[in-house]
Order: sequence, then structure tokens, then C-alpha cells
Amino acid sequence: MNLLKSFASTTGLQPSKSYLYEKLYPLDFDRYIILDTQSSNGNFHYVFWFRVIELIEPILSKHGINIVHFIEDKKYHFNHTYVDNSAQLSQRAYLIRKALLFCGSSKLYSLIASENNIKQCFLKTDYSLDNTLVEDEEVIHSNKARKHFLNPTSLKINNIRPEEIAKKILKTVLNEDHIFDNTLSIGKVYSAHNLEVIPDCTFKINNNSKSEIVMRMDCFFSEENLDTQLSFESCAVVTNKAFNKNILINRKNKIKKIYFKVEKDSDASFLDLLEENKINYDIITTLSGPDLDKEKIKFINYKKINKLNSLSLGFLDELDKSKVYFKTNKIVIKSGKTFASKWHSKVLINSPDVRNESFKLPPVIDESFKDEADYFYFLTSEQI
Amino acid sequence: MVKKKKILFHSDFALSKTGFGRNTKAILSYLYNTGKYELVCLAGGIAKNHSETERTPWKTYGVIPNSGKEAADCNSSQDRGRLYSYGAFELDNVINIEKPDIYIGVQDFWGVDYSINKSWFNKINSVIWTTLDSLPLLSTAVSEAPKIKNFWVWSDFAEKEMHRIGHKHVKTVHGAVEVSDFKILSSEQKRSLRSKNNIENETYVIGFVFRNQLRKSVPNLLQGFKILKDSNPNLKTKLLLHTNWQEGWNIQKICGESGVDIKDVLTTYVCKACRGYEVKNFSGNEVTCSSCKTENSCTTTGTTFGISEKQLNEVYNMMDVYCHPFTSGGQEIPIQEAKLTGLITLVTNYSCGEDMCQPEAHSLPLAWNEYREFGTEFIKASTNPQSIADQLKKVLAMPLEEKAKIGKLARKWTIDNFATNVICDKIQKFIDSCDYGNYENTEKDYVEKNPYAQIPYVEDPALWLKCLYSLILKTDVTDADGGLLHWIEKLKTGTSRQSIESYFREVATKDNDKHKEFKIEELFSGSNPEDRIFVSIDSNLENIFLSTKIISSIKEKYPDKKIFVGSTESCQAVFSGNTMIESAIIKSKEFEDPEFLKNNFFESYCLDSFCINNNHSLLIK
Repeated sequence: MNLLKSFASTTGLQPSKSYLYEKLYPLDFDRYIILDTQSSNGNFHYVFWFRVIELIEPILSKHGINIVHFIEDKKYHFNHTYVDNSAQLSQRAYLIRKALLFCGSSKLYSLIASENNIKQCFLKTDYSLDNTLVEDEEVIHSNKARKHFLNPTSLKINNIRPEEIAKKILKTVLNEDHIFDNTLSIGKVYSAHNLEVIPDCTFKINNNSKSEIVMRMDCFFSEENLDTQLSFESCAVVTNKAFNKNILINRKNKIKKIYFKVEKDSDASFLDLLEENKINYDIITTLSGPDLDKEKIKFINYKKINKLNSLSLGFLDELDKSKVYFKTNKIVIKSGKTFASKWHSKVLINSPDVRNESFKLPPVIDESFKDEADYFYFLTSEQI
Repeated sequence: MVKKKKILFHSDFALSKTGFGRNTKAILSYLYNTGKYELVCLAGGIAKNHSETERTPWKTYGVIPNSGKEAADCNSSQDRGRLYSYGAFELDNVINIEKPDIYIGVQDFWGVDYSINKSWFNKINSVIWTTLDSLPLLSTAVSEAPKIKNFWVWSDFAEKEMHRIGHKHVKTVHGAVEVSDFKILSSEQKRSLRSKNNIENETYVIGFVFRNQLRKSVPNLLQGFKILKDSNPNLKTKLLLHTNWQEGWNIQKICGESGVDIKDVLTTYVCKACRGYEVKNFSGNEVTCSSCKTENSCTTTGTTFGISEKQLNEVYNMMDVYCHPFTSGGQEIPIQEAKLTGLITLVTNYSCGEDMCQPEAHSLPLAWNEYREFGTEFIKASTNPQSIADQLKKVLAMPLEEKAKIGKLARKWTIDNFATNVICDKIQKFIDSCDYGNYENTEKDYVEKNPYAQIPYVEDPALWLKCLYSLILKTDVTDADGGLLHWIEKLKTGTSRQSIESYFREVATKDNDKHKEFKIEELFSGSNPEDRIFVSIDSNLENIFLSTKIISSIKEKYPDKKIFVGSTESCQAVFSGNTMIESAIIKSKEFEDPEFLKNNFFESYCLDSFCINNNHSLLIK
């Protein structure tokens, strides 16, 4: 039972009209929707707004409808109107009353919208307290994980697939039904533009896009090729063990950084060599828990051990894999050819334009693909 | 399985380059490797949630606030900031969260003395492990000693004096030194290091590793060095001052005044870009790295950014002799480090220097003259420059074999007395003898302050301030109390006694208000209970917004009654401009009493637990 109804039944008093003082907030357009795209409280902060906006913006703009963001301080790259913390609640209330729709997780804004009969797409995330007035058909619930969708956080609100929001907004505002490919997972480092070189051969890289070149000695340990490659261009190096001191000394100016990958029973002494030779380095690992703590004591005199993210890819279970594809900004280079992943490089399925293509999954997903998966954006054309 | 004892180690952050920090790292690393204990560190000098705290395999809490009211308070004065930096305001919080079985506070006495009167201090196994460096001993340490069951000091010097004045339970536990980091390098390695740093092999290098503080006797050392130079004009010699040139003594200026050529003084630069180091003449506070060529990346070493232990070992190994003149000190770890590298050490024979000058330690004692420190009246040592020069000459004249022999004996003595395993054996024995902590009845009752107390006229500023604490705030403070020092400083800089007294009275009033019974007459004067309706809404913004619907309905039912709302500060944004509300107030605990509400309002609506569980309530007379 909603708390107002509960109150009414206890006291015999029927709740009346709410009261909130409003102040004018001038805009140079009058047809707009409001997206509540930032909250300082992580429980209410949705992380996939960019995907929602990419889908709805072209359609809304054809209808002359603008997007207004309610934010704390973070502006997105979209050229929209941003109402930040400097606006008072009374001004935001004014904007909500004039909007075509409010979409977000804020219960207060939802209440204001309800009191003013403004359409909503409410992202419900607080189930402890039934204190909104929004009708259920205007709600997208977040209390259940979506099948085949990876929530990259531990917070309920990010259970909601961005396409659900986009579809609901378009249906509510325009009464139009749209079909989109569905997001399965967006890796945390999807936006990183890396060139990962497996040093099984050497060649000159045409790096016009100024991507970060990373030599993966942990995938193929060849000191000779590393040395030659470093003679061509500056690179970062990932290694899980020590390599020849002479390479460090002779190619010092070409080594941008060394990422020392800590595994079980790692030997920290290589870091002494790096420090002695003044080589910039970071320490990375996929270990966690007590395994990681055991290693920490060995590395306490060096630097913080940074934890890498490995995805389980459970979201792919039971999906029609033929309809699943992924995009990536990371390019794997092996034997002089470009690949979308290490698996693609193993089976020699190369692609000349990795960043503008989409890729099928490997038939068997191994640990190496899972370790890479945080660089990928997985989608499916299946309607789920 | 036996439950592991939880130890809260309260000292400098393990990765800071201070003596306390290095002790923390040595002790906690050792204890961690035993696998026997659950370790938590309350780390002084580092911000809360700082990413560096994740580097330790034990849980580390930072202490310096990042933002908000706490940060503003921290920045309000130097003394306040210092207390925050010690962790004075985070200690109770961590104790509440962690409930350790053993608390070990390791700091200068004024950096941990606030813990002694905490209600939990003697409920669990608490240790104060502190440095006491001067005679007469810090009066607060002496007066508090009976309250501290486990009172450890860093030097025999302090223990002897505590025993002499009757506190026989005080015992020495030296700070731990990680002996494996410091070793005697081969002659070839030493030559190579000197060559890398453009130091000629025949140059007689006199070293001093120190934090650039008042108590390190830099002027005396420079004078001693000048005497040595003047009496040996042909001697190629350099003074290596491994310190930070931006804090403390203005070394350049004193060199000029002492007649020491600045070219004869070396220092260590460390590069922020490549983390390499170089020993060379001082040429500015930020210089270009000769190795990686990064501009202005090299600074002299400090406690926040310095060289690694391995590099420091190399710096010691470039020296021929180590000279440590100081006014007083808790342990002076560089002396032990120098001994571990086989150097003959010259040490002022006072304070912890007395420990270093016992025969087994194989130091050369430096003579000193007594002076009294202004303000504290502590005995301090002014090291005799002639003695410095004499002992330097003695080492210079010593045959190499004898130097090596003494160096090895001194190294052994250091390992036997200061090595981490030696110190940790003592600590482990203590921990293993302790029971688990007991946290029953640790809450204290509120003591009412007296904002109207009569303050007698007292000439002495410190005593007068102590009267304010005692008579108005009903609390006693020690001489080293951060708050007391803050106000002494304010008096010195011209703040009037009247304004300080007013401040104390204001604090007392506010504190009492927080705790005292609510006086209804002050809030509702001019109206009678029959005309008043109370709505309590201590909730979130949404519920506060929803309450306006209820307030509207109440107003419709009783248009002539005045509605008082009890809420929180956050309600302002919602209630502002609402003409149906007579007054919105921040609630006190009396509003939770049904009798109080019955006696003062026609009707009361409690919407605090405004939720689907239907446990909101209505009181109607």
C-alpha cells in the first residue's frame, strides 16, 4: 500500500495538493524532455545514458524535441542543455512542470512530475519505501537482473538495459515503437584505444591515430622481437617475468612504461632493475583476495598493485550466439596483421578496419577471451 | 580455530619516509608474515581513502579529511591540522568499527596522549610506545604514566629517567630497523657509486641523514666542518647533507655565515619523473634531472617523496664517516642505518645519543653544552663544534682495517638490538600474553559545561587557558594538548583574552544546548497549545515533499490553527515559501515523547516512519 493511502486510512484525512514554490527557469525552446543523468548517490546513478541518448536523439530531433539534463556537475559530450547544482529545487520544479516527459531515478522529481501530470519514464531502484505517485506503466523496474545483460556495478539501477529506456521514452513521447539491437555488456575499458602487439614478429606500425602501443610479452615471450620492435617505435610493455637487462638499458628511451603482471608466486626483483634503470612502471594483476594479499607484501616497497577486470561472460549463456556481435577499440596485432581479439589472432581471422567493424564470438570462449572482454561492447540483434 | 587477535597500530603511514612510518612498515610486515594476527593501521599523515592505503596487505585507515566541515576545521589552524594529521579525530571511529583487542599508539607523546583518557583505553590492551627525548621528561608523560599500563619508550635514556622518578613499569622497546636494507658494499661498488656521482675516491665524505628540523644541529656541524677544513687546508673533504632544503634550516645562508664554501656541501636529489637520485652540490630546489632530462623534476629528499631504502643504502656507502649532531631525539634511526653500512658514527652524547654512545655501540661521542629550550625549559644539547672536528680527525687518521673492524662490531650491535625480528619478538610476546578486548560499558555520561563560570585572573597564559578548559568546559588538558597550543598561539598573535573567553563560553552553551532539555516556551511563545498542530517529518526529501500534501489537508481541516513542522535541515528546499506552515524547526528528542506532544499541541502527526509498514502515528487529544 502506498504510504499516502496508508496515512489516509489511519487518520481519515485525505491528502490534498502538494505545495512547492516554483521559480522561472528560462529556456529558448519549449518542447523538451528531462533526463536526470547524474546523481551523487551511486544507488540512483545510471551509467548507460550515452547509449540511451544515442538511440533517442536522432528520432526526437526529427520531431523538434530537445533534451534537458539534470546533473550535479558532469556534462556529457552531447550538445544539450545541462541544469546543474546551481539551479534551485524551485527552478527544477518549474522545468519539470513544463516538460513533455521526465526520465530518471529521482523520486523527488518523479513526485513533482506526478503532481503536475507530466509523463514519466521512472527508473525505480528504491524498493524499501513506496513513496512515489507514479503509475506502474510509467515505471521501469531495476529489482531484477536482466537476462543476458551484464551490470558492471553492484548497484540495482544498472540492471536496466539502455534500449528499454530508449524504447519507453519514444513510445511515451511519440507513441512510436522502435526496435534496437540489445546491449549485453559494455566493458569498462571499451573506450581505450590500444594497439596490442604480440611480439611473434617485428614490423613498423603505421600509427596515425596515435593509439597506445602495448607489447604483450606475457602472451609471447620473445626478447629478440621486443628489442627490434622497440627499435622502431616507443611502446608500453606488459610482462609477467623479467627480461634481458640490456634491452632495458639500450631501449630505455623507447619504453613508455612497463606493466608488470603479478601472478601467483611472482618475483618482485625485476622491479629493482626497473627502478635502478629509472624505467616507468605500474604493477597489474588479475589476482584477488588472499592470493593478492600474499603478493602485496612482496611489492609493498614498490607501487600499488592495480587489479584488472576479467569478465565471466555468463550473460552469453543460452543466447543465439549467431546473433551476438561485439565492437572494440582495441586492436590486436600479430604477425603483421590486425585482429579484434587474441582469439581472432589465433585463428587468423584478421580485419583491416577493426574499430569500424563488428565481430562474431569465438566458438569456444576461453580464459584469454574473458580477460580481454572488458575492452568489448557486446550486443545482439536478438529481441530479448 | 583460535580467533586471531586484532591489533590496531596507530602511527605514521607505513609507506611514509618518517622514522615512525618506517617503524610501522617494519613491524606490520613482520607481524603480517607470521599469519597470526589481524592487523589494522590508523595511519597518520595520509588522507582518508587515499589510494596508497590499498598498497598494504593489512587494512589501513587514512586520517586527514578530504572535504566538508571536517576539512575546513582541519585547515582552520596549524595545531588543529596537526591533531587531524595524528589521527586524533579518527581514532574513536576506527575503534568503534574495528573493536581491536590490542591498541598500540606509536608517536611523540602529544600525538597519542588523547587516547589515554578514552573510555576504551583500559578496557582493551593498550600500549603507548613513545619517544621521550629530553630532561626533565615531558611533564604530561610523567603525570599520565600511572594510567598507562603498557608504557614503552624508544630509548634506554627515557626508561632510566622514568625508573629514577618511580615509574618502574616503563620499559624500552626500540623502534624497529629493517636491517636487510642496509649493508656494507664492496670497495669496488663504493668506488663505482662515487664515480657515478662525480665524487673523487680520495675525498673524505662526512655524511648526515636527517629531517631538516630545529633539533638537528646543522649550524654546529658546519662550524665543526669549518674547523676541520681550516686545520687541514689540503684535505679534500665534502659534507653530504641528505635532507630537504626547502624546510627547516636555511643551509645556504648558514654556510655563508660559517665560512663554509657551499661547493663543499653535497646533497641528494631525487627525480619525480624517473625516481633516480644523484648526489651533488645544491643548485636550487627544483633542478633538471641529469639522467632522464626532465626539467625541474629533481628535488631534495623529504618525508613525502624520497629515495628508496636501496638507494639510501648507496648514499651511506658513499660516505667515509657519519656524523649526527642533534639537540635531542627519540631514536635517530639514521645512526643505526649508518652503523649497518659499517660507518663509524659520531653521535651527540645526550638523549637517545646516550644509548648510541655506550661502549658496545662503538660510536665516537660528541661533547655538548647544555642549554634550555625557551618555553619548555627542557635541557637540550648544543654539540661542541670543536668536538665534531676532533672526532672527524680521529676517524680520518684511523687505519682502514681498524675502521672496518669497528664498523663490523657496530653493525652487529645494531642488528642485535634494533633488528625487526628482535623488536617484533618482544611485541609478539606481549600480544600473545594479552586477553581479547572488552568493550562493555565504554560509553561516558555527558558532563554539563558551565558557560557562566567565574574565571580568576591568572598571568600565565597557559594556566589561564587551562582554567577556561577546566572551569567552563569541565575538562583537563595537558601541556601538549593541540587545542591548548592553538590558543597559546592565538594569544601570541594578538587575539584578546576576552574574545577567547567568549568563544569558550559559546562552545559550552552550544554543547549544553545539544544535551540539555528542550524549553518549549522559547519556541512557541505567543500561542497556546490548543491552537497548535505539530507535524513531525524526519525523513528524506521525497517524504518531506509528500508531507506537504498532508499539511495541506490538515490546513483545510483546521484553517485557524498554526502548523509547526519538526524536520531536518534538508527540509528547507521543500518548505521554503509554504504559507501553510507557521514554523519549521529542527527537532529535539522531546518531540519523541508522547506526553510532551499531548501537553503542547492540539494534534500531533508523526510521519517519521512514513512507510508502507504503516507504523506512522497520530496523536489526537
